[in-house]
Amino acid sequence: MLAPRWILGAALLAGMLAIPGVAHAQYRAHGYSQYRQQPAYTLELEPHLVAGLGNPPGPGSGQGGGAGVRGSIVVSRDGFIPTANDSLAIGFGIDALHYRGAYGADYFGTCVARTPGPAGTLVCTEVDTPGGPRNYLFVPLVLQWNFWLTDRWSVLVEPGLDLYFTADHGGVAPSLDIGGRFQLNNVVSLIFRLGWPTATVGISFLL
Amino acid sequence: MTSFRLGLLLVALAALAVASCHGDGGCRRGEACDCFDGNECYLGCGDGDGCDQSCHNVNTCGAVCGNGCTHTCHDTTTCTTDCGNDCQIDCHTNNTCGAICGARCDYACSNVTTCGVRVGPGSIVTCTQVNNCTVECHGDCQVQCSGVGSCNVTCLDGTLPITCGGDVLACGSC
Repeated sequence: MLAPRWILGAALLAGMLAIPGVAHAQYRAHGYSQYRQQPAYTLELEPHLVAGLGNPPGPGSGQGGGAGVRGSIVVSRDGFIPTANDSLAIGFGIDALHYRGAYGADYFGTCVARTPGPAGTLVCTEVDTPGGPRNYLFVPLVLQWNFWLTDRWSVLVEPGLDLYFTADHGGVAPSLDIGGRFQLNNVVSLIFRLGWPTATVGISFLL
Repeated sequence: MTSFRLGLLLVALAALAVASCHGDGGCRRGEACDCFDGNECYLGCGDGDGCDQSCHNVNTCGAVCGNGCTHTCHDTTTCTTDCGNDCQIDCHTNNTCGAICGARCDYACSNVTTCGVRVGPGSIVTCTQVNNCTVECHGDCQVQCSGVGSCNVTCLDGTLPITCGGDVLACGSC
């Protein structure tokens, strides 16, 4: 299950990191002026709610919810497609989620803490259950590819990586999101993204 | 205006996705979690509170739960329970039963060699056909020992347990 996601994520990321030079050169060669629908900003700051709609990477399972913040720094107002009004940013942030777990056949666990009780008994006081509830901390690092469609609407594609941390586990997972942005004014937008491992909905401030 | 409505729809769909996150499957509030056959069974409670846990015909069993839980345990060598308030625990036909539970704990121990229980205020412990029934009470409690070889009740506030009649000992009032 994970291998295809790794391959897809790695291929997308590698491809997108390789293309900009070529695309940028083509864009300049054609001399298009396509910034008219791009808001002038250098940093996008985005507090948001986060949902894990599928099993997270690592030992957790089930679906989860939480909150986080994302910052995206514009690195190019020219994207990969010369004829499109696209731009690139590097996104990073932090998301905290609680996964409730997916039980079914996996709700039997191991005892990880015991307390002496009366009459020499030793009472198990903490059970680590596979598939049980877990807290996760994600640190995403993504390439944000924006398409500025109208003066209010834009869509984005975000391939990247997610560092994740949960109790006694940690690792790196590929991530891929698609999303959209609706500008309420020149600074404030509603923004959402769907993907794995997390989906978000929040407020974007274009600074 | 149309695009704004479309935006609201998309935000609503995303919010729905956030709001609808939930787990699926077995060990949940009010649903029976039954573990049996094998060497060890350790049960947690996914919702924290309100789980209905059962364990039998294993060597060692342990259940951990929050408030308002039930745990039935039988035909094991050792069975322990860690529970919060308002728990109902039945430990019978085992070698050893142990428990730590909170206020208003209802603990029944029968046909067991050793039963060691620490309970919170307002709890009731019943030991029936037990060789050694040892109970420690935080606050008021009542302990009924029937057919018990050694019935030891300790009031953790330092007072001595009182006899209430009918094989009942109590910390605090009868």
